[in-house]
Amino acid sequence: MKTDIATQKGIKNYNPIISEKVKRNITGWLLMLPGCICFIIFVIQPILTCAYMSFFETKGFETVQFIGLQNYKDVITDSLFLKSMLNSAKYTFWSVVLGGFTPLIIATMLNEVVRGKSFFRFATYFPCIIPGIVTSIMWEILLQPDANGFLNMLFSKIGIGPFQWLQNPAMTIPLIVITMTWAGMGTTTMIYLSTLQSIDHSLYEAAEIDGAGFFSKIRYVTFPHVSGMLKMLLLLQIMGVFKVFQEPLAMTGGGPNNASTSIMLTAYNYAFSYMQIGRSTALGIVIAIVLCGFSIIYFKITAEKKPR
Amino acid sequence: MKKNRLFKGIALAAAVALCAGLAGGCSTKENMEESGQVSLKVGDWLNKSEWPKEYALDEERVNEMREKYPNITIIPYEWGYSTDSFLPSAASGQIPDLYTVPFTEMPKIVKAGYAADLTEKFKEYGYDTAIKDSVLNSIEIDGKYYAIPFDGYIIGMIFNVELFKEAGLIDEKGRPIYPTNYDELRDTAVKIKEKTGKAGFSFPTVDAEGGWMLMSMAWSFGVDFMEQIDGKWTATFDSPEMVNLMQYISDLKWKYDVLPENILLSIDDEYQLFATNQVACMFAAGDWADNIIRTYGMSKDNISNAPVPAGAAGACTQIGGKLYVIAPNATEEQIDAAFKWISMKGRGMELSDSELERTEKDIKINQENGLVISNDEFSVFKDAKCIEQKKKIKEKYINVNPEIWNTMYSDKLILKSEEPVCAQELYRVLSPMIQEVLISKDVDIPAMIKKANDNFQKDFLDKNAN
Repeated sequence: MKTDIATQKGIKNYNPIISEKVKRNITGWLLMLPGCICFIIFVIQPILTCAYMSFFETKGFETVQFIGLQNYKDVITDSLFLKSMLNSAKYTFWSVVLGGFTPLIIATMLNEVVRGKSFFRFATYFPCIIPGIVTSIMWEILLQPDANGFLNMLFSKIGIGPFQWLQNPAMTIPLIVITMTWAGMGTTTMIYLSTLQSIDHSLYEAAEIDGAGFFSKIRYVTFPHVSGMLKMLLLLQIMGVFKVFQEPLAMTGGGPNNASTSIMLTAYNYAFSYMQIGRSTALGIVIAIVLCGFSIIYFKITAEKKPR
Repeated sequence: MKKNRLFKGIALAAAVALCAGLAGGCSTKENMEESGQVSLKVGDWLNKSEWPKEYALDEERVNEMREKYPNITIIPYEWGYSTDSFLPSAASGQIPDLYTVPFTEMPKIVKAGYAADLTEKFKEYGYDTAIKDSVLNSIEIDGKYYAIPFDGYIIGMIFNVELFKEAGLIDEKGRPIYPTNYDELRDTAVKIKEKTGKAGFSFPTVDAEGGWMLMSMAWSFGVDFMEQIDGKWTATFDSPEMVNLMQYISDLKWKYDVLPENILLSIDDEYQLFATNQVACMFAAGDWADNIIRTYGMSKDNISNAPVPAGAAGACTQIGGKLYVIAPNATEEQIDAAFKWISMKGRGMELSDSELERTEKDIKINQENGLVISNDEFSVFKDAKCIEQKKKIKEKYINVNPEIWNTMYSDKLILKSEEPVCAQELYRVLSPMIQEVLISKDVDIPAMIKKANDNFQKDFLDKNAN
């Protein structure tokens, strides 16, 4: 058979399997190649190196001696491990509660706006173009706990406060999540907006003819269209927020009394405050495993709902 | 077909060029070694556009170095140490041959293998006999020296003169009435709060800074943090002295209300509060005066200073400063060149005539910039010639009122070095303790201390030191 095709095509040393597949998708492969190379260099290679180093005693970035699971044992038995893991879960929970549906609501509002569309879209996206560290510092200033703090000054005009804001351990994580939502929801809102705008208007018209009101149209037309995107963005949000690091570092340093220390901040401290790369990489791998768990759960949920 | 040839040609040319470059690089390095030429990449170099006058002084030093030691080439490098970027820079070979770090960072840098053993040259150049014992204790690791100290400081106290005046805490000479012990410090803070409504006292509480600054206070209260028993390091701060200290801090907040509202304070936050007349006094160390004056525009005439107050165990203060460290892959010749450059820079034991001139120019520049020129300096040397030389030059340019600008140093002070092991980790255990007593009035202090002591033993001493 091989010889036949080769003979037909008049090509010497012809390998039909590689040639056909590659030829058929050559443009796609070429387009993906730079991305694949970057993915291998900047994602796969560091993960594999981290995994390798996590089994070694390290001196700076040099591996000194194979110590098996000792680094994992050390980080998991650390008295801050459970607390910071729980804190990361709290960040994730509050991000779903406070930030999960906010971009969708804002996208729906933007979709309905008739005048000043460009301004509102720009205003929604504007926080995304501010560097993250600047956003954190700005919010830290706004949330100063004394009477001279900006928000406390505003609240004092209506006779309430002053509030402790970030210094109240019960409020620290929700407040940080609010600042993260403000800073990051622009991109998500734009994705939802483009999804909303792709919905065929004749569907809304048909629903109206069938007697559907505002909420019925959302329930039976809008929601089915955005639900796939909603699930995907929620999963990305969960995975992103679980790795929260910059905001607690800049706004609270993990305080008060480690109430906002995330698991990534703990990994950062291992690496940069203590220069214990082995332990930092071990904790990084633990975080990766947890995030893989989230992904598997997500794929299981979405797979079950696919029509057979 | 033509395209293929063209690509092959370009690839071949690139490969040849690359190999030639590498070979050229190798041969240059080999040639330098063979000819006795030594190059030294020196970090912390000032940016020419930002610091033109200071940059010019360093250029003079480089020229003099070239004349005096023709075989040594100084390569300026603007890289400076920072906690966040050091490790990646070091791992990727980006750190210079000679760089500076704070005292507190040296042990972990040595442990990570990014500092050369300088013991032999250190002794050869006489640093082991010229440097104060208390400073030597701070930099000695397992009987070896990995760094050369050049800029020392001790922790002291600074006072906002305006707030002290407003509170009537000024003597007949117009000098703030300094607290000499921790009871007086509390009473002073209470008076300031009563009379001005501003915070009477402040200390940092976040990251490692909180714990680091707490050390002087804790030692003064009689706290021992660790001891070695039968070769095993044991945490010992679960003690009545530590309970007293935490109770003292809790009282400052809840009983006397003399601290700033913000309990998550870094040292920079404190400087800002101090410079804007929101805080009357605080602990300070190092280049605090330059920071406050340059960054926040505070008048130097509104600042006064004094040694730390005394507690039940005396007035203890921590030694700190800056050190020169040499990259671990430096050759013997480069290490020797680094010692020569340090002397040329005026950071050795004696200043040459030309360096005396440059030091005077440097002082003039600082004076023009409105920075403090005083003789309140804690030298790392015992009685080296440079102490008198610098003092003599500075005397001509002192720009502070000696009645108000005191000294942070006193013969009564007990100078303490950093704890011998896991110091950075200890600071990060202490900061959350401070925060805990400041956010909650009803903390069970003994239980909190016991838990922190046990965690420090389990998480750090047992895993890293024993």
